[in-house]
Amino acid sequence: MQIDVTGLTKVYTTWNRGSTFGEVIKSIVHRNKSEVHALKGIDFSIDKGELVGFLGPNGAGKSTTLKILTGVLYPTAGNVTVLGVCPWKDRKKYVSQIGAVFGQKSQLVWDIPPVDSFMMNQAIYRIPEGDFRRTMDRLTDMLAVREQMMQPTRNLSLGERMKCEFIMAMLHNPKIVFLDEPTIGLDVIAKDKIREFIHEMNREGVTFILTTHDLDDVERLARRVIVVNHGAIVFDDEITALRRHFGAKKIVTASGATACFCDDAGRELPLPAGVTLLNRLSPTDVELECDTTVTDLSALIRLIGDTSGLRDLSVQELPIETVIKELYNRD
Amino acid sequence: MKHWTWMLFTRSLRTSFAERAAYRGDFILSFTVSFLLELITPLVTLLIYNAGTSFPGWTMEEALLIQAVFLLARGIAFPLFFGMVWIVFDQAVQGTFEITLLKPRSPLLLTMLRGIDIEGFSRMLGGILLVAFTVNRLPAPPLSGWLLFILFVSLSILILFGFALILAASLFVWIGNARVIELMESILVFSRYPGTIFAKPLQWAFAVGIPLSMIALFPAEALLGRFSIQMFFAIPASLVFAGAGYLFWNRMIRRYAGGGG
Repeated sequence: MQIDVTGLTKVYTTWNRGSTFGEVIKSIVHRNKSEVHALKGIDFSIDKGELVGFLGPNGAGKSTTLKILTGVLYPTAGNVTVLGVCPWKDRKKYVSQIGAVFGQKSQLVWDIPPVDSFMMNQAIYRIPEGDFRRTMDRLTDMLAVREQMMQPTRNLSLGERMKCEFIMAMLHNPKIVFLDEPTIGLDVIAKDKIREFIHEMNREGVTFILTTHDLDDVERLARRVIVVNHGAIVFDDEITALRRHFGAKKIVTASGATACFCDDAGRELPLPAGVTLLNRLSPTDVELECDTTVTDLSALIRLIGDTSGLRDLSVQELPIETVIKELYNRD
Repeated sequence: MKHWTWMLFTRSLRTSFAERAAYRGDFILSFTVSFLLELITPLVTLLIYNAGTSFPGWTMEEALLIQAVFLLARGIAFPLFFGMVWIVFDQAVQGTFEITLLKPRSPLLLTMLRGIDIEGFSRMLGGILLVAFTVNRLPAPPLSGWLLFILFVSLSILILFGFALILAASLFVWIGNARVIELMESILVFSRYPGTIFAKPLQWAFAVGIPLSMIALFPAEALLGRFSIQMFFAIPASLVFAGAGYLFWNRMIRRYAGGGG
């Protein structure tokens, strides 16, 4: 195991005060203390070369987990071993082997070209000159930013800047890279380029842990997904298993020759068990959700054909957004 | 010093210069204004002596020497490590200090290097010129006086480093408090004037409590050949003060939780 987490717990102390003038005055001398249980003893492990999506709604505990995994934050209880060391006890040795890209926190210096920031990292990570030049050349070619890295960071587009952030994070050849919303705000072309880059690095054996709210990133990149909510892990499995988490559901979009599951007056007719009407596009066109453990898909298609005369049909997996939303909404 | 740390220092200097050079007009103007402001700082002393009053037991040149040493010590401290107070201030507000913690180096070293203030070297230049000017108007100090002066100026810089550590570290929990520098400047005022203007208990407090007298008074007295028992108690007190600053920094950094989460 490259990452092994057991019983990870983090309790924060926060201060509460009311919003009235009297309460503000009172808070100067006395504040009410309260505890926030950000992580409630979570366990998981990650192997070398995995690409794991780490998901959760805002305030679920995923940033706290990542901060502990990167050695930035001390947990209240629990054990974490990453690359054979405890991140917060052996910080310097540990962080020299990891990288991080934050979509909303830049490592580049704003007023100078990225190449100068790369050279700062060379000195910080003690990268020998030959290795540094080779890695920098390779990464700049892969991400096509050779010209841009010579221009002041403030003059770069967001996409170009993010590519340079990736170079910053990869110059010292880290074994594990933590990505926190790496494609936030990027256009589709820049997103594709960055995803391609992550795939390439992952194929070379780099482990990636991806935190994002962009489920497209998760679908395109991650093979495994860990979902955290209310400080606990609510799902930890392959992304294909995530779709089956609430039953083997399919989305069926059908177009009939005549009215489909509705009468001439437009009143809805009863649907077979396990079938839910998601959207009525027109009297003849419907979008249905079919739980195939209850109703066989072929039986549903036959039924539509027999009652409405099937003109067109598409069957899709349950959108990952739907699954994630249901997971987030669970208490 | 290992060559990687030297490389890190020179690259940090270059980065700081490149950052300021990006706005050349502002850089040249700020550098000049800071330099001139440093030179007029001793004006108060000149006004006091020209008005016929004085600090008891001190000639104008001797009193000016204290202020020149103060400017020199501050001129070394501000460009080299006081910038870290503003770096921590910004990074704690924005929740970006974890980027520093993700680097395999001492967070203190990295924060200090990131805070190097090229513009602040104008203060150092002003300090050097004022020390040269005042020393030139006084009897030449013996070699032992110069050696003691070098030791005391080193301790003075160490105390200012302690102040920088305490201020920067307090910003990990006292997030966004822009008044910390003003607070420190108010305290440092006590180190600019001859000790004789203070009552005896305060003189001892400034020697062994918060060793403010070591910042400028004692180094100046070393050059003037004046010695006191407080001066020697202030040596260990200066080391303790800087050590306390370092411990406080380490303690506060453990409490840093950053933004989000």
